[in-house]
Order: sequence, then structure tokens, then C-alpha cells
Amino acid sequence: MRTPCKRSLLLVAVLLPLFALASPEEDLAAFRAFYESRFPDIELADHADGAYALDEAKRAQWLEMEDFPPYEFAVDEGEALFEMPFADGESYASCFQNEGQGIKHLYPLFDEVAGEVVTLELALNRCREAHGEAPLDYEGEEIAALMAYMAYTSRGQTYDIKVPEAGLGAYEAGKQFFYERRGQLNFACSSCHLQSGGGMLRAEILSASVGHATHWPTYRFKWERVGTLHDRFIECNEQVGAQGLAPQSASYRNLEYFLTYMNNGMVLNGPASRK
Amino acid sequence: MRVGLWGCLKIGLLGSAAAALFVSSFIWGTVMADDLSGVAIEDLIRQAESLHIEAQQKEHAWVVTHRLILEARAALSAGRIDDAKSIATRAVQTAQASVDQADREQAAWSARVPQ
Repeated sequence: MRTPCKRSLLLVAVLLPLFALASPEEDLAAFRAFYESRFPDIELADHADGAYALDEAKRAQWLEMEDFPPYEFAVDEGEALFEMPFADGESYASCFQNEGQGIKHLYPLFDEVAGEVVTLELALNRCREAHGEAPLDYEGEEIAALMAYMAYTSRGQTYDIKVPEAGLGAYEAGKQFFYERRGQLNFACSSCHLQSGGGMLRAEILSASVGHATHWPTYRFKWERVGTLHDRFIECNEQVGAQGLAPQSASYRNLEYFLTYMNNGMVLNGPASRK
Repeated sequence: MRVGLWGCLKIGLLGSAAAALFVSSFIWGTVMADDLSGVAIEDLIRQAESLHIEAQQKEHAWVVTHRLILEARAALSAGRIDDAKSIATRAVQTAQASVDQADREQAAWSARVPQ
């Protein structure tokens, strides 16, 4: 009598967390509701401007800087690189729908055949390799410039990232990464940008994570260059005393997948500039 | 209970032996602790490296551990034994803490998701 009872309880204990897993749609609704409640006076769409949505004085300074945007050179360089033919006579345009124009908001996507998340940077390098070219350095200026150009041609497009059944594992892994504490300071991404979003870290305002993936690549004044979202992931991890992972590692791609899904319904506004 | 002369002698001898053993082991232990050889410090560094690799595999490695391992190696190479021992011990501690963090976070993260 007692054994079946114990077995039933064990079964419930094992299965309960599975049923407790929220769907991506439920996650998105809860995520948005959290920020709407935290910042009732700020439109959700405005968080695409990061910390500049949260402070009027900083926003005014930033808008003035945008009169002569520091990423313009990267956009021009990226366009030249994008149009430069490969040794086999083809170009990047041959690898993407709409010849690579206005498509950045479609990435990252889950490739059901390969069973992994494909970011636009990864797709660019796979395109190169398919045409006999060496892949670009993921932390180099060339890939950042290409991304700046592709983001520029995609401005105004709305994110609608899909999570198919096969992509749920990658989505959940990215979500776990976002909420996991790391490094000697024992911080998660969510510690700063969800739990403490809108607060101050020394002189800086902590931006909300909703809108975090809309504006990349970004010219950061402290980097003095345009960098990618994965450059920022590495920097964030190192700021809390954790060793950064390799750019375009599976874990960072999964994190990008989760974060970009959390931007669904928001408008792509990259490339951008940040302090 | 009466104890004869021989009995007293035996107790005395055993007591002295035990006391000598206690004192000598204490002295030996102190000497060992103060005079940790390069080999023992190398073992500590290897232990830190092994834990650091485990933390890297779990994607939870800490920057400080890597720095401490390098510093401990440099101190050992320079013959600064006391420094090497102290730094290597800290390297083991931080590496262990990073592995513990990785294990703890496997379950702890889910409590932070907005519902």
C-alpha cells in the first residue's frame, strides 16, 4: 500500500517541474508585464533605446550625438565589404533571401536541420566558407561592419522570432543562461537588467533587458569601435568576474535567441551608439 | 588495585613513549606545514587547475582563478615559497567556489524568472 503511494508521489515530483515550465509565449508575457509594472510611465517600445529611455538628460545628450552618428563609417565599410565579390565571383547577397537587404530582424533563427541556433554572424561566415573564403574573426572589425550595414538596411523591421518545438531546448538553455548567477560577484544578467533595471551602477543607469537585442551592432565610446552583441556578452560576463565564452559559442547563441525572442514586437533600431 | 614496581615502570615507559610520539608528531607537522616543498605547492596548483577546468566546462569559470594560478606559478618559479603556497591555496578556494556556483545554479536560476 505504501510503495505505490510513494511511487505516485515520486512521479508527481518528477513530472511537476515539466508541467511548471512556461511556454515562450507565457515567458514573453510575464517579461513584458514585469517591465510595464517596473516602468509604468515608459512605453515598452522605448526600451529599444536602452538606458536612454530611462533618463531625460542622458537621452538629450545621446540624441545630440546621433546628429553625427559614430557608427556611420562602419555602415559604409560594411556596404563595401558586402558588395565585394568572393574569389568564385559570388557575393554575400547570393546566400540570403532578398539578397541580404532588410533581413537582420529574422535572426537568430533555429535551424531545424542542423539542430542549432543560427545568428546572422554565423550565417555570414557559413556563406563565406560555402564560397571558399576563410571565416572572419567574430571579434574583428570586418564582421562588425558587415553587421552594421545589414542592421542599417533592416531598420524599422519588427522582430518576430519563432521558437519551433525543436528549438525549445535552445530557447530554455538561453533562458537559463540569462538567469544563472556567474562570476566572483555572483551576478546573473537578470541581476542587473531585470531585478535592478532602472537602478544605478556607479554613474550608469542599468537598462532593461526588454529591447536589449534591437540595436546591435553598437558603437560604444569606451570601446572606440563598433562591436557585436557577443562582444557585449563577453564584457558583461567579465564585469562580474566570470570568464567570457567564445563569441558565437552555442551558449551565447542560445542567449541571443532568448533575448531576441523577448524583443518580439519591437522594432530593430541598429546600429546604435552607447557610452 | 595494587600496581607493582614492574607495572609502574611499564606505565611510565608507555606514558613517556606516548608523550614523545605526541611531541614529535606535533613538531613534524609544524615543520611540514611551514616548510611546504615545491612539490606540494605544485600539487595545490594542479588541484586549482583541475577545478578551474571543471568550472570552464560548466561555463562558470572565474577570471580571478586564472590570475591566481599564473601568480602562484610565477611565485614558485621565483622561489617565493610562502607566497606561492598562499596564492595557490586561494586559487584552489576560488576554483572550488566557481564549481560550487555552477552546481548550485543548475536549480537556483528558475526562482528568478518572472511569473
